Amino acid sequence: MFFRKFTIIFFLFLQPIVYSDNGNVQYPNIYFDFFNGERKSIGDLTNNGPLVLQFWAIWCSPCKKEMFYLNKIRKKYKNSGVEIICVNTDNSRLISKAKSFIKQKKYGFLVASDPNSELFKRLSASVMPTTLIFDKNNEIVFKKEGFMPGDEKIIEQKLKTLIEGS
Amino acid sequence: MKSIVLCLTFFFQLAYAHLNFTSGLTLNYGSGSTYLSENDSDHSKELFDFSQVLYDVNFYSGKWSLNSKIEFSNPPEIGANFKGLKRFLIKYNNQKNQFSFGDIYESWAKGLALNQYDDISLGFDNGIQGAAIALNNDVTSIKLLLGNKKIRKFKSSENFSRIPTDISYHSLIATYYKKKFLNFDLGFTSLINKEKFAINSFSDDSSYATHNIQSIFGNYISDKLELSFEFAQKYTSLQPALLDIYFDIETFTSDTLVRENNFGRGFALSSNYSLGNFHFSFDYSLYAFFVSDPLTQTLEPYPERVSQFQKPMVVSQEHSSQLLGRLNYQQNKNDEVGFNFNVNYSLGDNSSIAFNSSSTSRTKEWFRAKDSSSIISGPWEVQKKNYFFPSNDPSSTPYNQNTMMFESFLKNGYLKIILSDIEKINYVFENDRSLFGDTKRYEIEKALTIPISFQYNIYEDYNLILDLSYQNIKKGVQTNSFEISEFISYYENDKGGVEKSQNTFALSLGFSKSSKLSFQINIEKDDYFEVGTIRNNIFMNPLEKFLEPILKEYDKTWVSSKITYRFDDNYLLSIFYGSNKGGISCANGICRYYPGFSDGFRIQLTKSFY
Repeated sequence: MFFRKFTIIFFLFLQPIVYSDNGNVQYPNIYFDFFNGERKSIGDLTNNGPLVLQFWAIWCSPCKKEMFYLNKIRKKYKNSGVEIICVNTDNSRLISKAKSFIKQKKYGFLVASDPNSELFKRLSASVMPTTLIFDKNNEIVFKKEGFMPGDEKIIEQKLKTLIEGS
Repeated sequence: MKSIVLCLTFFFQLAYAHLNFTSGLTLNYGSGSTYLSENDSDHSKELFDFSQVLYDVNFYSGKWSLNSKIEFSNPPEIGANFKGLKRFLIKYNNQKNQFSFGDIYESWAKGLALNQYDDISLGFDNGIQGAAIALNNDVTSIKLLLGNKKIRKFKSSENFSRIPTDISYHSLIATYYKKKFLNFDLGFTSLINKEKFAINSFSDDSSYATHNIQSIFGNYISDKLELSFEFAQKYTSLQPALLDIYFDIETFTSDTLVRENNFGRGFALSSNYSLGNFHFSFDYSLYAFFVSDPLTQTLEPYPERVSQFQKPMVVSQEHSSQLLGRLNYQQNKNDEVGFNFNVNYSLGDNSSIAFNSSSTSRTKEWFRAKDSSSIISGPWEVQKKNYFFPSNDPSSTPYNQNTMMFESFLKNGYLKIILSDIEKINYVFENDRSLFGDTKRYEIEKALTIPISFQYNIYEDYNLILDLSYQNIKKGVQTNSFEISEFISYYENDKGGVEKSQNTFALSLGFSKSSKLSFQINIEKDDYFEVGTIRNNIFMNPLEKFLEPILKEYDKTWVSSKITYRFDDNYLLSIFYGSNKGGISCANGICRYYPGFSDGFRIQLTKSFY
């Protein structure tokens, strides 16, 4: 009985997917809690240009490799309005190690905390790292799961296209 | 039912124009066989199959959002079967205030009072089904949380099980208050968790435990220094009380212990400091929520232990490399004192060198008295309290780890070298004192591990990836009795002879074409067998047959390959085939045993829709 109810409700939920014509999805309602205690909305970060968002955790080696390259991209494009934010998903058990890692690497990008993986789930991320690019309208224009050597070039290429198009 | 359908139809028809939608699909499928006998004809093999489909569906409309996860698993790799709506959350969120209804996960301060998460890979979920409200302004934050949860967990005796069988029912009400003063935050939390648990496994009898937890926490942040701490106390009462009956076979008398309540405390601190190119960090934990002797630590049920919502900070350094990951420290949330010290020196923008030292133990040392006329030792008694620093006495099961690490991002690649030395006591069997002298018997494990990770850009988009690890482990039972010191190793050679230590080599060689394809072949080889474990690679799979000319002693060698292909940016497929040694895998302070197999494959597919 429960399964039948669930199936009906599920297909009702599917209706908006079938009928609505959203194109890319706008996210006006995302807030980031930074390691330094500040809070900003996604709109605050996309004011001047595209935003690269990466989900990472302290136990994830590919995430940390990607962060090194994201920092290089930030240095290269910071004057073009590009913002980079790395969202840490470690909960209370390991977050102190994540904070220490960021300080020792002296990375210049923004680092936010998502200890309950709420944002991670909201953006339908399932693997670590997941990297997204938002344009000035807060729309997702790129999403990549995992990190392979060379991915940093793809991210840079997408950013170039966005900067040149704006 | 009809009215629900009509209401939902109406609601969604109304909302079409305003709804945004994203979703993500993850498919995990695997099949493996562990052969128990070298004789294939007797079909003595165990199958290890799993299939799991996870579908995340998210809707957004203005300040409202709905997040849900649908799961079909039969069975998952680790955890209980599930078919249906696994999780949903409706949330109203403006910049200041939030209201949530559904499956709620919160993580407060250092987790000494409340830390909730859903770890699918470990089959653990302690989020509550209920409601939460959060009110924030520039200086204060107030949160209220309430709900219920049925929590499944593995019993301590079930290390090799796939499905958690220990079920308890919880209701929770928790509050949080934090105030900001310039660079300093100070806050309080309070939590009441009522737990219904089974008294034993052979009847339907149950009892209730009420955990009353309060904590105070603080954070200080400046450019150079960060400091944070949490102190928590827990009072647990049992209703009805539990009775433990002890029987003394020497005097034929019995004694009864009534377990009604327990009081415990915990403290965690972490700090980091930057000075030029040097960076220092220091973490400290003292958890005395339920301090017990080595025997009581293994008994069930003990609801006097930490609440299922308490998941405190992990102090020891954790590793993700293949061989080191198996030796990660298994945190004891109830009874632990430990610290971790790390110093990192940056060699320019691209390289760094680091030293890390971790040390932990139980908060007390224990012994048993044995008089001249008795054969059996008495009960465990406290030998010494380790108030502030970990002990190295075997009865407090110490864990010590020292690690050196060098990491460099090269012009065309990456290099990381780790040198790790670990010494730990896994179990204490005896620590007896008698007129004739002391007897200590315990399981000890010492390991030297050197993982090297190398990556090089060969040509344009083509990369070489090489991971190489060497590990030397001594593991066995150490006995120190009177003037005799004896070590019985767990390792033996093909002829049944005992070997002092085990050498393991692991090689992973891969090629990748940027952003599209990666292929790797993994080989892991042991010198000897570990007594008491399944010699689980006695069957030669086709991949091993192909490599047979260059592989010797295939029964102590595990070979696998993995292909990852990215169809487009958000459509990832990975296929694993071969044999897998299995063993302990640890992440986030929690360790699980994963069975090895001789012939198996795993498929994972992830796809996002946005």
